[in-house]
Amino acid sequence: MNELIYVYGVTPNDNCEIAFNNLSALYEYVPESEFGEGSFQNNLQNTEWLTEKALAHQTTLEQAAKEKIVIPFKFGSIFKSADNVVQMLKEKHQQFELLLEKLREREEWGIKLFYESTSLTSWIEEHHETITQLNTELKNSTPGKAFLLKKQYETKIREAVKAEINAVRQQLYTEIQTLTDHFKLEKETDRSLTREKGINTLNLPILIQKTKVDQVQTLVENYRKNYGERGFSLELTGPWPPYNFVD
Amino acid sequence: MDDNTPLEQFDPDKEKVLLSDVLDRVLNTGVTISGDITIGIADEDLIYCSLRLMLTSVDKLRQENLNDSPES
Repeated sequence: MNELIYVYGVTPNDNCEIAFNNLSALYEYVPESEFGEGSFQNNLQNTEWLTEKALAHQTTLEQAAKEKIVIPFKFGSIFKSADNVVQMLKEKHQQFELLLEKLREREEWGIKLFYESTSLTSWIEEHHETITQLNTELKNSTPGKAFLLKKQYETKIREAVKAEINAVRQQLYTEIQTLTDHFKLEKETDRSLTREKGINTLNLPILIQKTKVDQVQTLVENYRKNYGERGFSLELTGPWPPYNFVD
Repeated sequence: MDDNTPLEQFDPDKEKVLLSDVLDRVLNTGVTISGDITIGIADEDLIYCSLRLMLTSVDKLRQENLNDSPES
């Protein structure tokens, strides 16, 4: 059976057989019947196969990261021979060496901020000065005036909700920045995938020194404590292989 | 392993979100190298989209089942 080489990533040389200078490939032989050009394209359409292999990709990189720095490759980087992998290492060695330096003693973590619209709105109705005033005024008005005030009230609430989300978002973003060397603003996660958590309003992968992970955890905990009641929640995941910081 | 280690609570929701997080990263990021066999980027994006759709529909289904189940 013919075999191909699936490359998961690049690590500092650890006497592995596929290496160039001080770089090694983190690789595995895979059957051509599964990963060859045609079959691979077909297998990609099979969500079960894809999920399984994507998880295996993740697990391999995670395991390797326990012992050494790893530059993670994108899913499905497949080579025909060991020589071709060495050739690739040779061509890109300068980039890889720079990356290894950038990743040294660092980890990728992911921070997400969510808000739940109903809780946030009721918190604002109770705590926002202008809005509580308007509400009192509304209750003491004649029906005609109340109708107009009600419109005004609804607009004010919408504005206040938006302002609150953006204030918390901006503040978190700024505070995280002071702790990290590199961060990357990602597109927010699709609403349909985060239903229970609310709406994702900030999705921030960060590359952080291992020694500072504690501080990030404390920061996230503080946000949960201070803003939980308003309908905000946070998710901190990691350590991840530094997928977002190797371009 | 220490016998006294408490068993961590299993959270099916967490599991699901982690999977979509993993897929986000594995399929969308990492060093892009032109290996001998490379998937076209556009292709991969399409596949990724359909995977997302699948995850979404699983999620919706779960939600609907929850809504359908009797109270109490």
